[in-house]
Amino acid sequence: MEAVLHNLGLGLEVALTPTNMMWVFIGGLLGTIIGMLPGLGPATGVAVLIPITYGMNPGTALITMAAVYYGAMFGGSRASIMINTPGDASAIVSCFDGYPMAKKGKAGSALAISAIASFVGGMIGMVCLVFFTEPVAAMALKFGPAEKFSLMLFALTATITLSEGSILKGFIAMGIGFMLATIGIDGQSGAIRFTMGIENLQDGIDFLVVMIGLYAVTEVFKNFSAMDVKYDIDAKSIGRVWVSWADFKKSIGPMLRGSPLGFLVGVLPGAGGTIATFLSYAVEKSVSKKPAEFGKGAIQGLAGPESANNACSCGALVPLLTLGIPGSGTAAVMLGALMMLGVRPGPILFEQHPEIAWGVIASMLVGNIMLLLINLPLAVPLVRLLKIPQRIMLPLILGMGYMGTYFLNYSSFDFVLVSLAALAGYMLVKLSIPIPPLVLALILGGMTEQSFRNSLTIANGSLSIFWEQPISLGFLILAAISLVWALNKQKKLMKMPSEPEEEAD
Amino acid sequence: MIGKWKVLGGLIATAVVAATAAPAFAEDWKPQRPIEIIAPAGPGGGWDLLARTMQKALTEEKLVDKPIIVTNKPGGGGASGWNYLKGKAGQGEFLAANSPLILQNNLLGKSDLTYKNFFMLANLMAEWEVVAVKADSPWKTGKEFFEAMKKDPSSMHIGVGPALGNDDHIQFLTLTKAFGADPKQVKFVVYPNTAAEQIPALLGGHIQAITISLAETLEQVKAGKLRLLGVSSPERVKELPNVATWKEQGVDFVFPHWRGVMAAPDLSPAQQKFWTDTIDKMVKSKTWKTSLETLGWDDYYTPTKGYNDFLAKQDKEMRESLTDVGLIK
Amino acid sequence: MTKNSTTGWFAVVLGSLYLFGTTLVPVFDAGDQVGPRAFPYLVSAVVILCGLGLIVQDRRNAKRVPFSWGFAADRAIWLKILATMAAGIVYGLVLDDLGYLIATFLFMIVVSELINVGRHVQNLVIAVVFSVVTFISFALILKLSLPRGLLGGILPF
Repeated sequence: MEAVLHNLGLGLEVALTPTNMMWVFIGGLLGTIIGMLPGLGPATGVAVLIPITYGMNPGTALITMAAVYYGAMFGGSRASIMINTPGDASAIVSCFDGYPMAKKGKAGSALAISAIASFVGGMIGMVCLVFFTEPVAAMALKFGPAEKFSLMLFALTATITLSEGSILKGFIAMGIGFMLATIGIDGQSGAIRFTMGIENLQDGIDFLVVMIGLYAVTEVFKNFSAMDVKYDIDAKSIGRVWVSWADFKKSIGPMLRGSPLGFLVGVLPGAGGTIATFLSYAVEKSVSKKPAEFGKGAIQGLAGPESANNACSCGALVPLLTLGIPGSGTAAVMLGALMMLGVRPGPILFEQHPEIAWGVIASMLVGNIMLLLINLPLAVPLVRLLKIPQRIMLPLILGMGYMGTYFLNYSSFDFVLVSLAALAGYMLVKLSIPIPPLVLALILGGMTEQSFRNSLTIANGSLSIFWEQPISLGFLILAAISLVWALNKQKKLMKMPSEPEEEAD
Repeated sequence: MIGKWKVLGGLIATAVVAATAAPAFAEDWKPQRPIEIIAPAGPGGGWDLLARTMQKALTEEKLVDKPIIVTNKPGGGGASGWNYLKGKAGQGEFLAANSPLILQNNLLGKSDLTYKNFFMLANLMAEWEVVAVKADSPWKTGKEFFEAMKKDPSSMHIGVGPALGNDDHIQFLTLTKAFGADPKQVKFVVYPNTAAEQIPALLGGHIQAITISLAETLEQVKAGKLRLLGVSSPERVKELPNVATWKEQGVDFVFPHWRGVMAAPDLSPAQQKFWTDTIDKMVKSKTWKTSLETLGWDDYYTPTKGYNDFLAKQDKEMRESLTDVGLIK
Repeated sequence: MTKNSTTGWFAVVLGSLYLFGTTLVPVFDAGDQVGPRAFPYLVSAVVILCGLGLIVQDRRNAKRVPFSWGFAADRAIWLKILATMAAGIVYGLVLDDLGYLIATFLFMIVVSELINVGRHVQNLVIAVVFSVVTFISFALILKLSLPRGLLGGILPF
């Protein structure tokens, strides 16, 4: 304990130098702006910084990159709330309730609570990172393919059972997501699957492309039918960026639950922000007394996942700092940049360069506070965007969506995919097939299949590996419970005189 | 519509070539526009690092007087970026990073492109391959490990990533055969996220060994968490003098994981000369040498002629080992 | 047909197509025992069964509301959707050859004219400002690689 505090002190000394403070601010601001744009996530943000870091010492370089990473996390959900276009996968969940809040004229509260929840998640995540790195890293190693598969199965069932409408439709949505996920080269055998001879599909479909299509462009299509309808916004409330005490009180629980959950999921190699945010949403909806409000602008559905997301990005640093292996795409870019500076993060980084390792940790504490201060005032001009008439806003959303698509892979073939995804999205909405299970299955599909097959390879073909490992068994039981609970709910719905789902549209 | 633009582009390209090839002296060609170095992958990977290191060295040593842009074109295991380069036939302002994947993609039927489609400029650097086990595992040499594998192949699981048929995979297959075990019996566990998943899986005891490039394991080895059974370099590596080469262990196997650079096809002799000279100056420059050192890469410079012979040899060898295990029919 | 039975049939057809695609996946000697076909088979089974489930459920439902895509009634909307998609696809096709600035300008003009009908000057301003501002911020300031295309020789970098 004392050693930790001593080290943290050492780190703060590094972080609080004027140069480093300045870079935390610049990095944080740049990250926030980049994170707001569709398709441009933290990985791109860090990548564009690489040339700037050439002249820096490694500590400052890492601090600056961490600030961009963090800033992009804060910024990622801005676009989700304002234009229903998630900046990256972990901001998808912020669309579920953030966008409805904005439509109701509560964009100010939504932006404020998302910044506050991100801050809380980041702080709790940092505390966990400082004090629990060792035990948590040890726990993460126990997580084999069987555990990973069961966790993903649980995340998928929870999302299906909690989405609106028929469970059968949820499963169909999941199936479509899996279908898209299996397109491309199968890593286990090298077989090329479902590409219909199109070479561009060999690497599989980038889920972010589908996501931009399903959310941003579909949203524009939906608006074609209601063109000059203005949002139902109270003109006076538009500029106010703050949360009421009542809203804040509602968000405390979700933030306190979301943060540790996010941190733990973030530690697992390759699992990441998507699972963390979807699970946090599922948790909040199932503990809520009014689950029907979810998806229609419930502040809890925004606060929980937002804090889970930021705590998760702290968790993702555990494997980078302790093992020297990147837990996420962004961490991989950071690793590459550090290597060009001659520093390799890893188990001996803490011994050889404690000032770098702890300097980064401390700078993230400082950065978190700074980002809150950047993001709250930044929300004011953002909210004013809602005053722009739809007929001007929609072309801009289309422009940003397609531009963002290009930045993902620099491939013009993706323009075809994004257009098709948008059309599919519009048709799915018409058929009331829920989108969240589809997107989650698309993101997790590859990992789900691979970890299933890896488990069987390791167990030499025996399925019992899934229930013989206690952690794996635990997730399977949770998945079964959520399924049974949902079937019960469905039965009650069926017994009602009229089918509410049919009347919903 | 597209066809038209392609034709137009072709005409312009031909005009440019004609204009630049006209002068009598071959040395006269110089890049006319900003130079693009294509990294056929996203930011952060080996190709991207190579492209950016080249950009740095060429700019800081003032070897070219036009600006250099690094273009990321991920997809198809490099194929997207290389196809883009192929479309720039005759234009001397485009270079691309490459690696053994240009051979493997073609061998595995994933792509029609081969090294013969391009002007192979130079091989630049190499990393070495290793087989790693946990530090507290019973196996200390390659021989011990493969003996254990011969006895009970189903108890030995080998982590490889991101997909079968790459250098890591080929290294292990070749070794298995050389140590007298059956390559078809090896239980490979594929990790799409490569080292990020392989190393925790190994440390957590879910698999028994990983086949991977040396750099990915360096920190773990220094920290005493992993042990290397052997390395594919011709001599022991400076940083890890305790790790024996495969050659020392009685297996005639030297296997570089190399990366090089190529230019668009159909370059004029003047353009070819410009780039072979420039790259030659680059690899001898101080900036380049320092960069290699900080990145932990070995210099593996081979100019055009030797590079092509080397590729032909590698192509043949890889075809054999992939056919052996049934990845090529 | 109601919404649910339409969905059901859609799932059955999609699942069957995918099932057919699975039978075309090559199987190698190498690789794991499970093979590349098992998971897709499972997925197609789930989708087909859920589709059939929806159809059966719908039969039992007494109060059925017919569902229509609205191709006829909302023809204008569907045409706009298809036009936007076409514009997006063409945008991608010409991007490398024309360069980011020209292609983006053209795309923005087309979609603005579709949405912001009749206000030509406004649309022209939107298209010019959007393409120039994004090009400057991404290509020049952030140094991301954007195709320069036809303007390649003229642009100052």
